[in-house]
Amino acid sequence: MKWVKAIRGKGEERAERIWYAIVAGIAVGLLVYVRTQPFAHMRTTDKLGMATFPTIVLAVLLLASVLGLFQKTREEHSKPPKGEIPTEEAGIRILPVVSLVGASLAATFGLWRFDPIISCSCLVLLLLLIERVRDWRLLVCLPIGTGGVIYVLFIWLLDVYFPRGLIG
Amino acid sequence: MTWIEALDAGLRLVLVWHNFLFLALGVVVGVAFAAVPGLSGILAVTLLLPFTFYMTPVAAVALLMGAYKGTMFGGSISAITFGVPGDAPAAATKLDGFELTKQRKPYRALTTALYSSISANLVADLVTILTFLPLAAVALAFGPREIFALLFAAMAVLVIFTQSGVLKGIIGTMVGFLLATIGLDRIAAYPRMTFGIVELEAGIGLIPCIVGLFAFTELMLHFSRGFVEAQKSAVAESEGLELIRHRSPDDRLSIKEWLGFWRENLIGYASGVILGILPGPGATMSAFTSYAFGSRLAKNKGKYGTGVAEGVASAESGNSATVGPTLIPLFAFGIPGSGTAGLFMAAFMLQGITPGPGLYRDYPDVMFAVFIIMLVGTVFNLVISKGLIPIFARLGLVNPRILVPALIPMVIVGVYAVSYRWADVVLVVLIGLLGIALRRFRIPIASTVVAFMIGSLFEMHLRRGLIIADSWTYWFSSPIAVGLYVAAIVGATLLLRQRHS
Repeated sequence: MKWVKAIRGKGEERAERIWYAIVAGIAVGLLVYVRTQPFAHMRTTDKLGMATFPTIVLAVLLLASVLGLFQKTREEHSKPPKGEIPTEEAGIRILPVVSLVGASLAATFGLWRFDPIISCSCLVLLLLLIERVRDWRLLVCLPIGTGGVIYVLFIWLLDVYFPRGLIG
Repeated sequence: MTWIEALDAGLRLVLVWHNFLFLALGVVVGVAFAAVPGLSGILAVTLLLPFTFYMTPVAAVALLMGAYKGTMFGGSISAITFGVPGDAPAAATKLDGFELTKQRKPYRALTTALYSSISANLVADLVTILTFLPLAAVALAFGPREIFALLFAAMAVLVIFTQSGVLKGIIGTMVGFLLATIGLDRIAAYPRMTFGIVELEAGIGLIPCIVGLFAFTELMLHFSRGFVEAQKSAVAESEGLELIRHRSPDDRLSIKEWLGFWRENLIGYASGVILGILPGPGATMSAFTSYAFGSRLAKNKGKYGTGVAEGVASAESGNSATVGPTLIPLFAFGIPGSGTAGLFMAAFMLQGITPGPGLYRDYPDVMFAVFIIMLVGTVFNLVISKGLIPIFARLGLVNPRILVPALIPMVIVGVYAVSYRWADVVLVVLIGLLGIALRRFRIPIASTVVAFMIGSLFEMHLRRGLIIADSWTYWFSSPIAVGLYVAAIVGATLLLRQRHS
């Protein structure tokens, strides 16, 4: 099959094609979702309907990604733009999980007035440990400092109300 | 209200001590963030955004404007002192700036960068003010078809200027549009694209989207160990900090000498103003464009890259002159042309002010206050940056990986403090993950953010036009709309041809 051959490339080119294939797959999935929803069949005063704009957007997205699949990868397109700071994705696996779990726990159990400091300080400590920071002064000062800054800025100065859940 | 009365009312709004305090704070935060290699200026403005919810409109603009102006010079400090650009636009400044440091003249480079940055800021402010007033009058005559045509042109420019290719530009823009379709339909008031999730019925807010894409993505993508190691060795090898601390008498730049760089500065102003108004190119492209033109047209053209102050002036005036012009389409038409303009749009909307054609008609006093803040901000930037150069230079020693754990809780609590919705916090994380996917795919996040913000406008004006229109000719019956379509298509074709050649 031609498209399977096209996806098979080498190195960066192959990665690019896999990405285009993923985008195309997502676009198809969303197109099916949009066209099967009740709002796709409702009439509106503008005669365009609620689903037309999302459908056009998804169709363009699909077209662009399919074109990308068969496009020869130009070297400059896979290079980082001028001036971009090189990054790595080591923290991606853990950071969103930690953040989501923290947010869900806080939403379920609520926060005491001083809890944002404790929660945030624990989060900073955890993230520093993930970063393999071994300097004990930093491990003590940064979490406490961040908690303090959050307390002063958000609770003391801005008087932000944090939710009180099961333990709040 | 006449413009004199508006100016008077604007002055009264500005002349409150806390506005100046927030302006100074913004400048300090902006310069400091940009001076730490790896922490971008836009991250500073994004982190400050939630706080503006609790401020008056003028104080909010003062804080963000100070930070925005500060970031432009801030990035050059570590680029010149250590050869590690603080942020992307400063990469062009490094080319000659660090060479000057190697010649034991870091202060000469820093002063050139500061003067060029400040003068570019000032020119850009004046262009913004002088352009906005006539444009605001024209914008009032714009109906759905003209606004739609303008948005079409903006979208075309956004796609064409994507550095990593047109297809990726289209994908980035469509992702932004798609995010904008989530929530209640504006005409039928019926939920769509919500996947049955009640929290999505209100749509994705500006703050979670911007903070997620700009701040959370940046923070989740750790600065690579290789970058930090390179930064450490650059800091260890460079004598820049020591040379700034113990300045030698010949390491200086007089105003007269700097005025001699008028040609390089003028090229930078022109490049910054033109590329700043257009959605997409941004400060980095402007800095490199100005540097490239400067290297061909300057008096010292053969010596660019060997450590000439003219090279620093070219790059720095090019990136700083984009500051005001990026806000012109936002103020006049409600179209944010860059990520930072999007942040300003969010700040205005948090205050209940919708930027766009009615902005000057409805809030002339606030607009004049904004202009005054812009001008005063430039002066603050000069005074604070010049006075604190040695302190800001020390920030180049900070390891950005250590700051990440401290900034993540600030982002989470900041987003919660604006909407009091945990769903927004979860959205920030999810949109942050989307941002990583986009970055991995080399899709510029700014184009997704801009598309997210203009997406709902695009659809709304299309559908409003369809309600008004009796036939398809309605869309081409306005000379302004036709002119915009033609300009967009011709401009896009020419730029595409140039790229391919």
